[in-house]
Amino acid sequence: MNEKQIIEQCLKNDRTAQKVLYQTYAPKMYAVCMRYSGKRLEADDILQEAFIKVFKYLPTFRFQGSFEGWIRKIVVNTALDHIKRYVEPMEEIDDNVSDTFIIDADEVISGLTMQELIALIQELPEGKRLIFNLYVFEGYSHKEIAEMLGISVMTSKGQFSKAKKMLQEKLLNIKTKVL
Amino acid sequence: MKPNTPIDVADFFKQQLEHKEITPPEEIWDKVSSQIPTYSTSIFSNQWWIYNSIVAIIVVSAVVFFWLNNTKPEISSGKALQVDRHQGDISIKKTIAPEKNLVAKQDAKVAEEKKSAVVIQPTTVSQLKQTVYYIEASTIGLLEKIEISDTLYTIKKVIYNPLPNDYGFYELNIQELKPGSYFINFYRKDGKKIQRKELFR
Repeated sequence: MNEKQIIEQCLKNDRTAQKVLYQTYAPKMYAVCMRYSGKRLEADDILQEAFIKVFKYLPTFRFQGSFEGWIRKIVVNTALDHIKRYVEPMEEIDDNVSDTFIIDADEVISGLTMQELIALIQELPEGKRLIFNLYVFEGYSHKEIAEMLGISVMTSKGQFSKAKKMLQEKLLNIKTKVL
Repeated sequence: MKPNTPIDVADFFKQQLEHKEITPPEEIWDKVSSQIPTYSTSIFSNQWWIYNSIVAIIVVSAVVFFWLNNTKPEISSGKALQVDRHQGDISIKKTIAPEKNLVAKQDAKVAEEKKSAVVIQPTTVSQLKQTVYYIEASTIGLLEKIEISDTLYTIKKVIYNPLPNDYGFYELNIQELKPGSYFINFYRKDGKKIQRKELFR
């Protein structure tokens, strides 16, 4: 069954097709949830809530554009709703702050597992984690992020820069410990 | 990625984590599946069905409308006369009679169509228009001219020295005249004048 046939079967209340749809996209979306949330339990809640919305709004999908993209948007919006509840007001950061944070991707850094890297992102404060994910993985501009979160473009840029700096420091710490 | 390659932190995380998958705990599916709504499978609930029906009705109506508008009677009175005349041995009386019958039949058909529940565009007058007027020469005599005027006595057509056709009829072309009542004045060679009032269709 191709993607369209699976969706059509889902809309005919075919439980097997519904499970196939979930199993096809849940692992990709769970990785997204893990990056956005601070804890695994929160990621579980986001994934569950997002997929309930996916099935609820499935009859509105018109096969215009990527289905995976459509699901991902629902997942990211659900994650945003979750995290925005307890994001503390973000402070303005000087625009002159550096935007370049380079690391040497040596054997230690390149050898980090996916779980270890996700854990580093999860350690970031909510606001910085949110902006880092939106900018790096979703490809939103700082202007779009500012509108989404109700903050200034300057704040978005500053928080992003700080997030990168924190991640650079974490990676350097790991390197130091190993060496 | 080559070892010791300097890379921006954000790019490093993107390269390492984009398109990665993590298997979620099994119990999430159980919770999701218990909340999947039951979709209505009735074709009437599908909006596309409604849109398609509306489009189909419009298309069919348009086709029927244009078909009815462009359909003409198979035989016009003029054509019927020409066909009969080509047969040669049939008398003109016989050719006139079918023409009258044809017009009468067409009138009846129009009336029937009007009565019918189906919306049919009435056959236009031009489609039934009488194009030739015949009168037996023996009843009128030899003529100097024929004058056709409307009911306000405005002369519409004059024919000088008309000659009967092979069958003994004066044949007046009235194609250019609008349908309505007309006076036809026959001016005989002996000086007498005969007037007739006729309704041209």
